[in-house]
Amino acid sequence: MSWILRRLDAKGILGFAILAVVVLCAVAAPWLSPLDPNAQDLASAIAPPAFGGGTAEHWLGTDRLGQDVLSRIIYGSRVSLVTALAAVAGSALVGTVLGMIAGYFGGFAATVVMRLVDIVLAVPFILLALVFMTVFGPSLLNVIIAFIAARWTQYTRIAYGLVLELREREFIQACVAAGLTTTDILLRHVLVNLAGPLLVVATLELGFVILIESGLSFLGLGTPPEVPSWGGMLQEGRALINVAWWLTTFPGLAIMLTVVGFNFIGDWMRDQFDPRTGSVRPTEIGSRD
Amino acid sequence: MRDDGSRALLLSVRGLAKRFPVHRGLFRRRAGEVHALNGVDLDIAPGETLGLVGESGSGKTTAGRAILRLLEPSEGLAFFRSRTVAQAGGPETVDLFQAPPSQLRLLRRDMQIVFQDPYSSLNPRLRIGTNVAEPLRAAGMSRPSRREMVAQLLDDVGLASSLMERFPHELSGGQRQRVAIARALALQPQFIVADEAVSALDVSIQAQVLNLFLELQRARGLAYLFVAHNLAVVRYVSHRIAVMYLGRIVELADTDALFAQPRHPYTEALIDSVPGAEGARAVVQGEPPNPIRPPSGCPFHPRCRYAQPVCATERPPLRQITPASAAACHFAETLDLQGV
Repeated sequence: MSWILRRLDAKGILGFAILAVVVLCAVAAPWLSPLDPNAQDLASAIAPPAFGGGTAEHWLGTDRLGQDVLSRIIYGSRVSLVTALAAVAGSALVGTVLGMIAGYFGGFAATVVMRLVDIVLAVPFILLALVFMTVFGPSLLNVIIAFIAARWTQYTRIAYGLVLELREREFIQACVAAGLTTTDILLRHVLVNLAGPLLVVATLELGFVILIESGLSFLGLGTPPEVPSWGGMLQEGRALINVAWWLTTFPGLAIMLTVVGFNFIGDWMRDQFDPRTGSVRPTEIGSRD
Repeated sequence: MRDDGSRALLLSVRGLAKRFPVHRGLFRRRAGEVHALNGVDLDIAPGETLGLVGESGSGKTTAGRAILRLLEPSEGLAFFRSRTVAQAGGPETVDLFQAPPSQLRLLRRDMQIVFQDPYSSLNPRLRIGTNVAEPLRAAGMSRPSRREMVAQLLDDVGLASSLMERFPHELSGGQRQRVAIARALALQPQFIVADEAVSALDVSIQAQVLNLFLELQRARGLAYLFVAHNLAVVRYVSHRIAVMYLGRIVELADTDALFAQPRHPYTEALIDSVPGAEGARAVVQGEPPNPIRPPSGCPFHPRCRYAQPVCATERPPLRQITPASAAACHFAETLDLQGV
C-alpha cells in the first residue's frame, strides 16, 4: 500500500479525505449525529443555523418539522453510500462478465452483448428509473436494481475493448497452449489485466450514482420519505428556499463535496494508469502490492 | 533426407492448409479467402530441429500455430507420437487435427511454444514463478511441488530461482525469454515450436538463448520446429531447413546441403540477401505477391531471375532432387545456384 501514499498528489489527498469523512459519517452516524434525525420539534421548526442567528442546539438549523438538519445530513450519507456501493458493485460485476465473454468469444456472443449495450445506452436513465419505480414501487433496493440495469454498459464497453486486444497477446496464447481451461484464462489472466482501468471507471461511477440518486430522491423516485437522504432533503427544502436557505444549501453541499471527492479519486487513479501523464503504467501498479 | 523410416517420426504433417476469410464492404460480406498455408508437408523426428524460414507473410508462423491447434487448420493431417496420450491408454499416434478437446488437453503437455515477443508472452500482472507454474497448475500439480519444480526449471534455463518473486517488467528481454522457455519446459514436452524465439533479442543475447535451446535439446531429447526469418539463426540450430514462400514449402533440405547448394532460386536469393562483408546483393526484386490473388504457375516466377515461360503456367511440385534436398522448381537440376 505504501506506493499509494508515495504517489498521492493534492487531488488524491483531498479525494481520499472527503471519502474518509463520508464513510465515517455513514458508519458512525448514531454516535456522530447530535440528535435523532427523525425527532420532530415543531416548537423550533425552521430554525436558522447557529452562525446565522440560530442556537447551538441545531448547528445547521432545522426543517419544517423541526428535524435537525446536521443529523439528517449525517444519516443521509448512508443512503448515498449504500446505493452507490451496491449499484457500482452490481453493475461492475454484470458489465465485466458480459464484456469479457463478448470480447473473448467474439462472434454471436459479441453481437448480442454489444447491441444490447447500444440499446441500453439509447434509453434515458431518468425515464427508465421513472418506469421502474412506478411499476415496482420506490425502495432502496429498486433504486439499486435500476442503476445496475442501466450502468453495466460502462464496464462492458471498456472490458470488451481491452479483452479484444488482450486475447491476441502471446501470454494468453501460451495459456491456451498450456492447456488452461477458458474459465481459468478469463479469471486468472484476463481479469487481472482489466482490474486497473475498470477500477477507475467504478470510482467515477460512484460519484455519478450519488448525484443521480439524489436526483431520483428529489423527484420522489428514490427512497421513502422517512429515510433521511440528501436528495429527499433538497426536495423538502425546495418549497421554502426563499425563507430557509439552509434546508437546500447544506444537503446540496454534501452531495457536491462527495461527488467531487469521488471524481478526484477517479481522476487521480486515471492519471496513475495513463502512460501519457508520465506516472506508473498499469503493469507497474500491479507489481507494488 | 534422413529419417526415411529408419526412425519413428515424432510428428508427420500432410497437406496442411489454412485459409482465412476476407471480408469487404458495408455488410462485411465474405469476399474471398487468403491461402495462408497451402498443402504443407513436414516430418520431424524425435530430438530433431526443423528450421522453417521465409519472408513475412509466407505462412511460417501460421504453420507453427496450426500444428499446435492455436489456430484451427482448414485441412490436413498431423500424426503425433504422444507420450502422454499413450500413457493414458490412448493410441500410439494421434491426429492432432482430429483430437477431441479431452485428448487435446493431454496432447498439450507434449507440445509447447515459445513466442517472439518476450514482453507480451508473460502476464505482466503475475509474478515470474506464477507465470512459469501456470501449465503445472493446469495439469493439477499441488502448490508446494509446483514451487519446487519452478525453482528447478528456472535453474535449468540459467536463471536464479530468486527471480520467482519478481514481476516480468523487472527482467531484461533475454531473461524474460528464458522464463518463457522455462514455462514451455514445465510439462516436459517432447516438441517445442520456437516462433521467432530470438528475433526480438539483442544479437549478443540471441547466441546465448540459441545455445540454451541446443543444450536443452541435448539434455532432454527435445524436437523443435524453429520458425525464423533469420537464416543465420536457423542454420545454427537446425538439422534440416524448410523454406516457405506464399504458403508452400519451396525447398526442404539438410542444413549443410541447403547452404552449399540451394536448389530453389528463392533459397539462393534468401542466402544472398544476408548482409555480408561485401554488403547485401538484392537478388529478389519487389514485394511478395498478394496472397489473395497468387500468381499463376510457380508462385515465385514474377520475382525469379531464372523464370522461363513454363514457370508462369505450371506450378512445380516439391520433389526430391538429391538425397539431401527437395525443391519445387522446374529447373532444380539444371540451375547452378550459389550457396555460401
